[in-house]
This record gives sequence, C-alpha cells and structure tokens, in this order.
Amino acid sequence: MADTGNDQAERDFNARARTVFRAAEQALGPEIRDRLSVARAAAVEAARAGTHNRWHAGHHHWLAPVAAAVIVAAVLVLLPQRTVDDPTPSVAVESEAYVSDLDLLLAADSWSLYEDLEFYTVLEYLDDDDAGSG
Amino acid sequence: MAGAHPRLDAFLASIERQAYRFALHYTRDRDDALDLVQDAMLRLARRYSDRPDDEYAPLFFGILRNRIRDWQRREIVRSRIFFWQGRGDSTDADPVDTARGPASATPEHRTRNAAAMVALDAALTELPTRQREVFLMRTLDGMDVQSTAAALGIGEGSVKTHHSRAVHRLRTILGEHWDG
Repeated sequence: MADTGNDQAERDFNARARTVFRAAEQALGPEIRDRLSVARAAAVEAARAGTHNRWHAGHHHWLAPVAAAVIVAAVLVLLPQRTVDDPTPSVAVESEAYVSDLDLLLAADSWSLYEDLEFYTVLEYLDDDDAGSG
Repeated sequence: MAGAHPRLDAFLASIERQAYRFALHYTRDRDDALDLVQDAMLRLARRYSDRPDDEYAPLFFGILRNRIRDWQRREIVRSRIFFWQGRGDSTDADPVDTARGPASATPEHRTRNAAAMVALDAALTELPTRQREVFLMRTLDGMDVQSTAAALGIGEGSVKTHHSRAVHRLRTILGEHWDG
C-alpha cells in the first residue's frame, strides 16, 4: 500500500478533530444542557402520546384517506349542479335589472310617459334658448 | 417520560450534544440551533419512534439536515427583506465562548482545544456543502459510512470519497500544526 502514510495522517486528523469536537460538547454550559434535556423530554412525550393516539395505524392506515375521499365525493354530488351557460350571479342580477327596466319602458303607459317627459324637456330647452337670445 | 420510550430517550440523550454542535455550526446562533434540534427530535419522535434502533441516527440527522436547509432558505429570504438589519446579538453563540474543554482538562488544554475548535469551525465553512455534511456526520456525530449514506441519500462510495476529500482539504487549510 503506497498510501499508508497518507491514510495514517487522515486517521490522526480525524482523531484530533473528534477530540476537539468532544471537548467542545463537554464544555456546553448548563443552560444549553437543560434546554436539550427539555427538548428530549418533549420529544419522548410526543412519541408516547403519538403511540397512544395512533388508532390501529398499522392495520387501518388506509381508512383516513378513504374517508376524506368519500366526504369530498359526497360534497361534490350534493352541491347544486350548474350548466356551462349559467351566468355568474352578478351578471344574472345585472341582466335581470336591465330586462325589468326595458320591460317598464316598453310598457305602453310608461312609453307614453317617457314621450311626455321628452317632450317637456324639449320645450324647456326651447324656452331657455329663447330667454337667452331675448 | 423516558419509561414510555426508553430506546428513543437513550438515543436522543446520546446524540443531543452532537446535534446541537452540528446545528450551531450552520446557524451560529444558540437559540436557532436549539430550535432546530428540538424540531428534529419532535419529528423523529412523532413519525419514526417505532423504527429499529439502528435507523434512528440516519433518520434523525437526515431530518436535522433538512431542517437546517429550510432554516438557511428562510434566512436568505429574511436577509433580503430586512437587509438593513443585522442578525442581532448572535455573538453570544460564538464557539469560542463555549469551547472551553472538559472540566478535567488543564487550562492550557482547554485553551488549545478552544482555539482548535474555532479554527476547525472556520475551515469547515470553506468546504463544499456535501463534504462538510459528510465530515460532520462521520467525525462529529460518529456515524458509520452506511448511516451517513442513508442520512444524506447518497451511496456509500460517495460518502468515502467526500470524507476523504474533506479531510484532505481541511488539512491543507489548517496546516500541519493543527494536528498536533
């Protein structure tokens, strides 16, 4: 092995690095150690609670996604169906209002009323014009 | 509640300090490092506590590594948005402050180890990401080639190559005197 010297140097370097790392770990202050202990306790507690609450996860892990899919399908089926030509609600309201105005205008009485109003407006305009020129 | 999960408790107790140093190397902030370690512990506990013992280490350090990457992405975004602000008083977490060495060591040893730790920490930042991860997992966390490969999702041959290159590069950066 031509590379034995280099391998040994690598091993020495690794050993030295490990020593330095361990020294730094040992030197961690009590506050850090306490917080790590608290984090560990919380994790172990979470594992305990998780195991406790995991209802037959090993045998029925398919149940939750299937139940969700059934609920989504039921909601889709029960929603009121709309056709492609259905206007959106706002457009429908606007067009209904427009149609009702037009109906009103086109009704005989309203049409005559409109004509009257138009007539008087023209008369008022003429009066104003006369007054201006006079 | 160690009684409920003695295996998990023993594993976490055995790696919590390495995990903290691993995270601290990237964050340079004590609180961020602790948060990341706690997140990784919780995720391991909630999802993988029933796994065999020998899967804990690759799973945990894989999770921690992903958490650190998420944190780094958030930090990049945050630094772009709040570019006029600094990182606060993260100098508290400078490795110099904590790397005093074991209580049994002499002051001279402690000083030497502290200086070596600072130099190593700085040299590690010059390595490519993959080399750094492999070196930290193999040397700092004491993981074997197989576990490191599993944690990083790469082949065992790649682990050996990255580790060898990392050591070679670190030795070049730190010089011969550091080994002593």
